[in-house]
Amino acid sequence: MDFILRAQDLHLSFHGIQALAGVSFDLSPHEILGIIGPNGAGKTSVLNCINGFYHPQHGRIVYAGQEISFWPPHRRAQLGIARTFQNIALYPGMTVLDNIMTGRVIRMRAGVLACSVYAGPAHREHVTQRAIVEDIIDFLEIEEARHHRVADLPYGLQKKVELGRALAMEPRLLILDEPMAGMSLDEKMDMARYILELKEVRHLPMILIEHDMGVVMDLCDRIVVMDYGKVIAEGPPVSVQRNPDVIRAYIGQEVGTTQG
Amino acid sequence: MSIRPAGDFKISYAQDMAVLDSTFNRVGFGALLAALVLAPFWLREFIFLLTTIGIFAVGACGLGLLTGFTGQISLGHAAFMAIGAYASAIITGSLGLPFLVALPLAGFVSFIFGAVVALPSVRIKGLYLAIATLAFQFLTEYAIIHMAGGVGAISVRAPSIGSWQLRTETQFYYMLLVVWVLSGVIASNLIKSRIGLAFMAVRDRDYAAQVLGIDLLYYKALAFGIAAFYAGIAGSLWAHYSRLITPEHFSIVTSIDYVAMVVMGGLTSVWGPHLGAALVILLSQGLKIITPEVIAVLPVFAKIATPLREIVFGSILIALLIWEPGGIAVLLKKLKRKLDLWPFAY
Amino acid sequence: MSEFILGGLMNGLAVGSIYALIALGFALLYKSTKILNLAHGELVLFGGYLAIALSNIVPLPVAIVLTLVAAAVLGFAIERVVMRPLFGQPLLSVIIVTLALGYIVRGVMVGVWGGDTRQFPGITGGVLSIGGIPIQRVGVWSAATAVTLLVIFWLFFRYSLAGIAMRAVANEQLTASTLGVSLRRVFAYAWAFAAMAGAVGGILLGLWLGVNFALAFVGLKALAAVILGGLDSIPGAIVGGFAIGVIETIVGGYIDANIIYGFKEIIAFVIILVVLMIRPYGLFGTEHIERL
Repeated sequence: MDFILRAQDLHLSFHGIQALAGVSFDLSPHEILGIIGPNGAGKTSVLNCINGFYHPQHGRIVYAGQEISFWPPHRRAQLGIARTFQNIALYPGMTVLDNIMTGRVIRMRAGVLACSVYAGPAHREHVTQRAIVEDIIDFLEIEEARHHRVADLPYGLQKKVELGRALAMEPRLLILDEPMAGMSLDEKMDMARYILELKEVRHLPMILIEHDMGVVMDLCDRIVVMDYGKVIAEGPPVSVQRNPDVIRAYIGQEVGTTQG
Repeated sequence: MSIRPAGDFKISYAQDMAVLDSTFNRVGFGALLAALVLAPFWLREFIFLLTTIGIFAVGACGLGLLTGFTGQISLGHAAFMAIGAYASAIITGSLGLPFLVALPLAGFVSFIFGAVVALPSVRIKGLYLAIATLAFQFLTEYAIIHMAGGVGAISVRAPSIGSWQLRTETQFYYMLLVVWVLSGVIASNLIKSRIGLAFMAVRDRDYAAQVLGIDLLYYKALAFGIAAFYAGIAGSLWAHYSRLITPEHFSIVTSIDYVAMVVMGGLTSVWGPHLGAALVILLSQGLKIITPEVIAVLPVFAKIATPLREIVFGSILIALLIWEPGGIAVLLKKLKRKLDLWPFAY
Repeated sequence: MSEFILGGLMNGLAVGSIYALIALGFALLYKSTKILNLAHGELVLFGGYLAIALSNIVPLPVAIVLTLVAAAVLGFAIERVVMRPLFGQPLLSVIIVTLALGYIVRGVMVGVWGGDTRQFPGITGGVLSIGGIPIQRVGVWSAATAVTLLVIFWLFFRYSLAGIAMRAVANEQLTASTLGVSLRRVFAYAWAFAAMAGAVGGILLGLWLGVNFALAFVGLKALAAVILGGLDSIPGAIVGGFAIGVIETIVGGYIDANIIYGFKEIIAFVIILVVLMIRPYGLFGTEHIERL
């Protein structure tokens, strides 16, 4: 087995509107796969099929040797599929700490009774978990914001917190939906650094949707290009960049020139 | 950012996560407990007020967990209280089991009803859930009246612990106080724990909770179950306190009172339900006491004496929600912050 | 048996037409403001009580017009004084505030006019026979009025500018407001309209059955009607209103008389639960698909 995730011939439509029309790709265990394409190409729909929000009408999702096409989202998450969202799905009223802590909920074992007593096992467990969360806070360099409400934080920082929450799950596959959208150059560089470190040090496979072509070309090992719910090109960045179909999909605009 | 008195630093994660996390809170909590323990001495014949507040605070605590922390609206909380009350009456009456067994058992019976009612709550959300619980409230009332016959009234035995009969108001109050404090502490523990985190995740953004591996069905059912458990305990306490129960005690009006308690008290505060219960009970009991006095002075009001509670209650509810949507808990927090900084404005 | 069903159908449709009118106000308010008004029953009560009180002083038609004006003013006042400051507050706060409003309106009504059942003066009973089925004369007139009003309201929303603005807001609040539709004005109209629809319902039911504080429960029947029809659907509310009237009269009446007593009063809730279990968005409502 040389893939951790396989999407096979995914078809998805809503009330007659075809969102996906036969999407297939594999993700190997240590790679970063980029998915690019114009708006409305179906990129996020693919992610929603992988993590279980949508169930494709046709096609299969195989993850770590198991077919998971019909599993509910929370069970896929328990298997180690973590993701972030295009427009940040944090808990705005909770602190940074609590937000990241929610990523640990599935790793905690205290039962209802232990939780109602709290002193003893549940509390000890909570303190251990807190240490793990602090490591993540360390990694993302957001110690200052620890006790702040997420709603009060700037956008770039929120994106970091969301990554932190996904990491708290100790994922075995990380899906990032536009992790750098709306970020400043500095913040983008930080985010790229985290992503590379996760790849080099933790060997975490990732799927990345991103509109910043420079980032995609630099970070990804392989790229899938989508348009109108179909894969129109696939391969290493260099070959995708030169692919005439890809250039056409971006309407005459050469992919290489948008680098910044 | 929370503002804490200078000099109260935390040097371990355990300290940072303690329930009572500052000297002010610890001293305040101790003083409150002392006042409650000594209440029969300073409240004297008005101790019944505190007993009533306590019983409803227990129930409101459950609704606070469900609505405030899990975000599920219930307009049928009194129905679960009714289930607990009637269960307790039957357990101590026909089955002849002691009160100390009946109390938790009534809670568990309600728990099961609550968890079952929750099953559809995964499909229906928000408004629709509110409407479904409203329907459940009316159907429960109807079912009880039909099963109990007549107006649905049954009498309940006085509670006893072992061979010790709780006959006086004060004895009952102390028993209640133990249950009350326990339920408050347990609710606060649950919120601090893994379960509380999961609840809040479900409340704030359910799809994000799923992505974190949190099973919506399980946690919603658990929240409904726990809320119903609390209501069941409150129902059992109420049954053994009032000694005669009718479905009228647990009507839609009581359900609305419960929602008013948690909303007015403060939805996202562990203290909210207690503060809200105190406010609502004092308000309605206070109006009962004051109205005859007012009528004696101003006979014009005689005509609206009965609906006066509704009018005043409704007006205060609206005024409070417009003035401070966060409820009394937030008002108190703001007050404390002002006092901390007094006499300077910064 | 067939006579029972036919009679039930006639009476059910008659009472259903009034439910439909009340439900229309409810649904329209929800559609344009996204507020579930649990005080709607009290608005019905308001119309009934006020019209009776006024009709003791002035002739009935004048009393009705005055009541409608008062209802509109009440609607505007509720929107201005209570609802506007709460704009953007969580769902629960708004629901609880409508409940509190209901308390106040009901408290004032019962306080001023007492809890006894009151009749409109000068309304004579009398039973008509339509196709061999007996039905009260007042019922027929009430139903006819309700149907006429339903048609007028429908035309209004279809073709008048205010109606189009309301539908635009219902569709997408933000977009409508950027196109120059005043949200405040639409909300105010919606409240005024809901109060008037409720008041008319109260008057028509009051003419037929008399007025007491239990009239407020009609609000819950309107709730059942809109749930059945689909919360955000105007035709749904109308169909739902007729359906609830018929089901309540025939099914409820049958079970009430033959199986368990008092079932007619709660059949609306059974319908609510069944619809929510099977098809939460109702017969004509739009199914909400979450976009992530």
